[in-house]
Order: sequence, then C-alpha cells, then structure tokens
Amino acid sequence: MKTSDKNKESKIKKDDDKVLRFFGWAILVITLISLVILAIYGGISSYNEITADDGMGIAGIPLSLEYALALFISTIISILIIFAITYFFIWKKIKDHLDVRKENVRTNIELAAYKNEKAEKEYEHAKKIVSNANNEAKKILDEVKINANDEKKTILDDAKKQSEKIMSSTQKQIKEEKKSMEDDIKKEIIETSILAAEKIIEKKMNSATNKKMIEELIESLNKE
Amino acid sequence: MAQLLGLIVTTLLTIILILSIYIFVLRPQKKGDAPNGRFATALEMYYEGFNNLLLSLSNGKNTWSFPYLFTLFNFIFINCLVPWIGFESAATSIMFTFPLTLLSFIMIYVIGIGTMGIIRFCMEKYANPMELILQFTPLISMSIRLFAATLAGAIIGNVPWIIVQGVIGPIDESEFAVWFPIIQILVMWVWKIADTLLSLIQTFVFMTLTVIFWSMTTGPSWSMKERKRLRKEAKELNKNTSLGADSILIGRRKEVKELNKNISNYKNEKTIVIATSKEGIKNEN
Repeated sequence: MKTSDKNKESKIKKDDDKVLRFFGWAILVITLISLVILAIYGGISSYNEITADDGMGIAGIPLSLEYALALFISTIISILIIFAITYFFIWKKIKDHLDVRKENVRTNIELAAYKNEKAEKEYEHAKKIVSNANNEAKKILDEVKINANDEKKTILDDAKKQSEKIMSSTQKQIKEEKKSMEDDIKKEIIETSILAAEKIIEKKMNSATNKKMIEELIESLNKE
Repeated sequence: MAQLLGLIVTTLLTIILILSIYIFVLRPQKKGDAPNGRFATALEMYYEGFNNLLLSLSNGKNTWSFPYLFTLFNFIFINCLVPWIGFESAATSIMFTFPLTLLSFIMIYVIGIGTMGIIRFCMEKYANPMELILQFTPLISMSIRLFAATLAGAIIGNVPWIIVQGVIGPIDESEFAVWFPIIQILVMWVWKIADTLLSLIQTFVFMTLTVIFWSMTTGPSWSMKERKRLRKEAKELNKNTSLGADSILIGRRKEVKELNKNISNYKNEKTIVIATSKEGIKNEN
C-alpha cells in the first residue's frame, strides 16, 4: 500500500511538473511571438501607413494593428490565466477527489476479497470440523450401540439366570410346601379317618388294635 | 472594440465560474467523499467524460496536456455563449482564434522535438518534402474554421434585420422602433441556439484536432537517456525477431517491454511476434 501511494504521489508530481513545463514553454513562446509582433508593429507604425477609426475592420478582420495586437495578446494572456486557475482550482481538485475515491474503492475491494478469502478458508475449516464431528459422533454412536448391545446381552443373561434361579428355588419351595401340605393333609385325613373309624367301631375294637390298623393303612398309603 | 470587450467578459465570466465552482462545490467536499449534490456529481461526470474522451482521442499519450485542452474547450465554449448576454463573441475576430491555434501549432513542434529528438523528428516529419509547405495547414485551417463559423453565425444573425431595414428603412427612424427589441428577443433566440450549437461543434473540432496533432507527433519519451535505451532495446528485439528495425523504433516503453517479455516467454513455442509503430503489438501463434 505504502509503495503504491508513493508511486502515485511521484506520478502526480511528474504530471504537475509536465504541466508547469508546458506552462513555462507557452509563456516563453508567447513572449517571443509578442516581441516579434511588437517589433513588426513598431516598424510599420513608424511609417504611419495603417490607421483605422474604430479598429473593427471589415468582416472581423481588424484593420488596426494596435487593435489586432491588443486582441492577440489579450487572448493569450486570458487563456493562460484561465488555464492556471482551471488547473489548480478545478482539474487538480476533481482529480485528487477521484483518485482518493478510486484508491478507497480499490482498498475496499481488496479488503472484501481478503475477507472473502478468509471467510472461505474459515468455512472450509468449519466444514472440516463439522465433518470430523459427524464422523466422531458416528463412531461414538457405533461404539455406544455395540456397548449397549453387550450390556443388553449381559443384563438379559443375568436376568435369565436370575429368573431361572428364582424359578428353581420357587419350584423347590413349592415342592416342599406341597410335600408338607400333603403330609398335613395325610395327617388330617388319618386323624379324621381315625376319628370316623373310632366313632364307627367304637364299641367293637380297642385302641391297640386301632393303632395297628392305622399304621397299616398309612404304610399302604405311602406305598401308593 | 466589440471582440476585445467580449474577450474580457469571457475571461471574467470564466474566472467567476471557476472560483464559484471551487468555493461552493469542491472546497466543502472532503477528499474521498462522494460528491455532495447533483451539481458536484454532474461536474465529476463532465470531468470523467472529458478525460475519457481525451484518452481515447490521444491514445493515452500526453495526459499532462489534458488540463490545457479542458481549459481551451471551456474557454472557447463560454466565449460562444457570450452573445446571449449581448456581447460580441471574440471568435468573430481571427485575432482570437489565431493565437490559440498558434499555441497548439507551436506545441506540435515542442512535443515532437522533446519526445523524439530533433533529428528523428525532422526525419519523421519531413520524410515527404511536401510537408515543408503542408505543415502550416493546421495553423490556417484551425484558426479560420472556428473564426469563420462564429463570424458567419454573427453575420447571419444580423441579416434578417438588414433585410427588414432595407424594406422599411432604418429601424431607428421607423414606427417599428419600439417593437424592434421585443421582436428581436422573440425571434433571435432560435437562431442563437443554432449558432451556439454550431460554435460548440467547431470548438470541439478545434480541441479534437489539437489533441490529434499532439498525439501524432509524440515520440517514445521526453528523456534522451530513455530514448537511447529504447532504441537499444528495439535493436536487440530486431535481432531476435528478424523484423525491420524501423518498425519498432517508435514505440512506447511499456509496449517494447511487453514485447520482450512475450518473446522470452514464447521463444520455445515458435511464436511469431509482429510489431509495428502504428498498429501497436500483435502476437500471432
């Protein structure tokens, strides 16, 4: 940026130098021409040959040399004065304004391009990060799935084992319960049947005989 | 004295206009800011348009002379507008157009000798001996063209009144004398518009011819060392390309540099490089 500014400044300076050189040349040339014309005029007027009342002449061609000379020199002086004023007050000012604006626009474009490039890089980077994150997430998900499956299997196995255990213990318990119940029922039946039998054969048999009969009955029941 | 008065009025008007533009439009504007207002925008557009026009006319040469050409155009144009406020245009005298043409004419030689060197300039300029006489043509044609167009406009503007006076006698003494200024205002503006447009075209032609004459005579560089270096480069280039040396002697430094670069780039690819002073540089594979 700094070097381009310097180059620009030196270019403007060069242009200024050229304009001033042109201005100098023009003044030099005009002075010379004016001197030559003045010399010619002096020579001619010394003879008093050319005179005119109003100096207007016919069809714009001045007859009076004085008038012609005055117009000639005035024109050149006018154009040079106006040139100097135009250059310093209009041309240079507008040029400076536009140059600065062009430079600003150029800088803004460069800045925008730089920012765009940076944003694109950041976008690519972000894209990479997102894709990496996606991959990571997928990986994690897969791992989690695998782990969950294992866990599930273990839990299920455990549950199965435990249920089997519970089932077997329950069955055992039921069996024992059943057996004790059966025993109780048998005892109850025996007692009830004894009572019934006692009542039926109360009078015919003694208790020793009863007992023997009952024991035989129980044994037969056990055999069954 | 009418033209001298017209010239003074033109100069004063132009100075007032420029200073007004500077004080009210350009001075309040900060550097780098957008133009404030329509007039400032129009002014910048006018500047840009003018600059681009001159760039295309001069083929990018003599950019330093653009401010003068801008001044020249505006000065003559304002001078053409002066009759609208009752003054006579200074361009109705050849002593107004002649010094302006003389300035343009002398600068042809200043630029030619300054950028080519006196020997090469003479070789170029007077390759045709007829040029010894023909070289003065621009001086005559340019000065008379603008002068004649403006004068013709001024004379034709007066013709209807001369005819009227021929029929009814001198207007000052006739009974129409009271109505004369009113009729003049009502009728003459139509002619004045046409006259101003005609003068505008001639002003444009004057400026265009100046640009073209100056750019035609512009050589490779203002610096003698630079010119020598360019000639050396051109000769070397000539050896490489086996082209006529003269065809590339007159060329701009940038073009020659580019040409050299192209040769070094495409030397191995059998590229033919054609360079001419007028057409610029062409590469043909």
